[in-house]
Amino acid sequence: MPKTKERPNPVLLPSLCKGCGRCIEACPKDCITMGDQIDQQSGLIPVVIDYDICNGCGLCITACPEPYGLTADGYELEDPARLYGERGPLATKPDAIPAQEIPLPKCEPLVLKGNYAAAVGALLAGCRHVFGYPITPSTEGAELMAKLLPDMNGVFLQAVSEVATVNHMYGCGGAGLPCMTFTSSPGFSLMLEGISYMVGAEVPAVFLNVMRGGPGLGNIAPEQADIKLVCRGLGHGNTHAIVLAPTTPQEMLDLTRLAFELTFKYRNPVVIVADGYLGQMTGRVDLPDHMIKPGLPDWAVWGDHAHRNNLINSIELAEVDLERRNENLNDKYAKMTANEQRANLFRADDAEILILACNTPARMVKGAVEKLRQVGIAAGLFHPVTLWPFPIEKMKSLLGHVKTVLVVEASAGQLEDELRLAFSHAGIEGMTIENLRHMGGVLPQEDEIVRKVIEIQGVES
Amino acid sequence: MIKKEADWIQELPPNQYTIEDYDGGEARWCPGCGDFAVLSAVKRICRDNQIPPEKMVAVSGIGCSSRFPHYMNTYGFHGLHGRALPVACGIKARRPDLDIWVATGDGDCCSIGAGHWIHAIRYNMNITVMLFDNNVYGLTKNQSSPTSPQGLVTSTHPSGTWLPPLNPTLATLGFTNVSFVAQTVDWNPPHLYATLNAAYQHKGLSFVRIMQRCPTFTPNLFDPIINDPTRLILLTHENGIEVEPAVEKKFKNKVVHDPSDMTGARDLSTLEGKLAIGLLFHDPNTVIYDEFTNHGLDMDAGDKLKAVREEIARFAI
Repeated sequence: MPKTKERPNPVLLPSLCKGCGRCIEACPKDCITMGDQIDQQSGLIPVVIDYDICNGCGLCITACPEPYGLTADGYELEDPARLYGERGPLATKPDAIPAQEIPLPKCEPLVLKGNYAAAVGALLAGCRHVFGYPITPSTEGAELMAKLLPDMNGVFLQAVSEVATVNHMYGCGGAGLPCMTFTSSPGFSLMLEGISYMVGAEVPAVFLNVMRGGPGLGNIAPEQADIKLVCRGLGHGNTHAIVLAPTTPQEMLDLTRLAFELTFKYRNPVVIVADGYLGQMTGRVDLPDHMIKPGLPDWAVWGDHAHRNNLINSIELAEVDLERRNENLNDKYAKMTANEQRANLFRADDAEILILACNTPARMVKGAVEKLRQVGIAAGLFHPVTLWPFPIEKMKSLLGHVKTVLVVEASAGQLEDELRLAFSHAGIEGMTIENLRHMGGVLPQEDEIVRKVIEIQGVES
Repeated sequence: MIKKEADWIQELPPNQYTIEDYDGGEARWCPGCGDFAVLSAVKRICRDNQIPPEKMVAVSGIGCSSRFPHYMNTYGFHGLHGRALPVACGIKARRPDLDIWVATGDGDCCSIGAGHWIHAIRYNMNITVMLFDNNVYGLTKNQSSPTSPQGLVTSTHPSGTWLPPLNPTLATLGFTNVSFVAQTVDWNPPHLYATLNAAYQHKGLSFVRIMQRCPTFTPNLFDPIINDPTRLILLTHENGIEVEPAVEKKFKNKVVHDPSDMTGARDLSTLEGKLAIGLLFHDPNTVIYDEFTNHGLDMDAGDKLKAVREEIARFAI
């Protein structure tokens, strides 16, 4: 019997050696030196081992940071099947589990605040995961969720900031779960970076932005000055999201439900823009006849064997790959533009003056239209339910009788810019566009709108 | 320096600043809010140190306490939520001649601004930071803050907050390059004054946590400590914060604590059911970042032009 223990020599795979030299430092016999030949495969210079001096101590093997750079010769790996049992089958493509509709019993209408109505809409759409940070005038939504969700197998998590909020949603949405947040303008600004990542990684989530006065800290009164942000500036890069603009607590509920449907349909965030009054306003709300039990998408990072190959990310280092990803996104945006344009019309079928407005100002316009009709002026309301994509097709169908479009808004022309852009893309020229604007939390009043229309009418006739 | 007796002296030398010189807009906090006590203490410190109003900047983030700059007739900066400290550091970096007072709250500093807080302590610029800690979000009406005591019922935690509260003084003591950490309470104005004055005199970032009640949402927060005087511990030491003997006499529980003793400071900031007020930690020999960032302020136009030319010359072909 030989007294000395057989010790294996280190085996170097030159194509896997990066020449870092850690083995040279570790070798007590100085038998490893830096090479001088570039390896053809790796393009790096591997080390060289002098086996005449090597006594097989193995220190270089433990020092090597490459998983397979330096290995021990002569050892057979233990069969993993013997150690851990038979390996399971490789991950297959998971099946998407579709959402289910569950019928609801008929009930009396509720009287709800706008923020609460949106929260109830989210619950009926199957959302059980809400993240948020307190900000007036949107906090009530989060507060109701904090009260209800713990008893509904859900979670409300008060994040440390809006930056944390959007990333909680990135994670939760990436797991394939319907999630949302309630926020207001400054908070929404903070979320933009995350929204860009979510658009890039195609993660669904619903953002309710109860817009308040800006810029900067501004105030907590209603404004519509985030329209440009949500339609044209959702963070960096080529981003778009469907933007829904409710005008009543009922629509706060209905459009929140719709938002969850759309966000999963397109695998893209959806933004709902309300304003400070709409969030705080109380109104009659009828509940729908069914609620949604969410399914599980096949792309979700779900943590089971079937979803093993899924990866949520927005990085594409190769330029051509990133261009392809953008082209895919553009295809998706084109589909949204073709299929999701929505608008509500009020006495617009024969209108000569069409008033464009959304959120609370649309309510004032509705009253103004009634008054104008009483004095024989053919006015009508065009309420774009989707601000992006702008409902240009519906608008086009009215242009035969419309002489003037009056844009009534609580911003410095951001809604009008959306209209002008939509006209421009559709090749519509020569339409007279008038405006009535307020900022800083002041809203256009009914009488003011009536006066404006009469003034326009006077100029025309 | 004018003595405090000046409060009731009618006639001052005409070239001296009085409290009125620092009065800004009418303060609109809820009746009984501790913020009033802090505002009045700061104004008196300004007067007693004769800080010219134009040499002082009050900086704040968002929250009830962050109305502070509006109520001071000095320069003011009402900044972004959680970003009071970076704004303050931005000013101090190039205007070391200005006195910077930061008003921040437990939500502003310890939640959304937590990242900035760590690095502001490490920057150790010569500013005075007042953490108005009422354990709740008051401005947005009763949501949990990171310092809310466990079990506090708020609108975002209707069944009581789940997590143990973050301890701002303990955390600050753990940040690299910390130089001054003190704790005081809103219901003891002489101690509040003495603590903020000591913070103002310190060179480097002085961090003062002011424990206060929110009269609307957490009015009974400190009742156990207020009702049992032995639970409020006054820290005394020759290098600590000096209060008048009459004030010191009122404290039933006094502990001698050397402010250079970090371990002792950590123990004193984690007392169960008790509250230690005074100077927890003081290190006068720390690195101050504005001494680096104000480099070159004394250069004249000729020096700057010369430096630019030398730099450009390096790129000449």
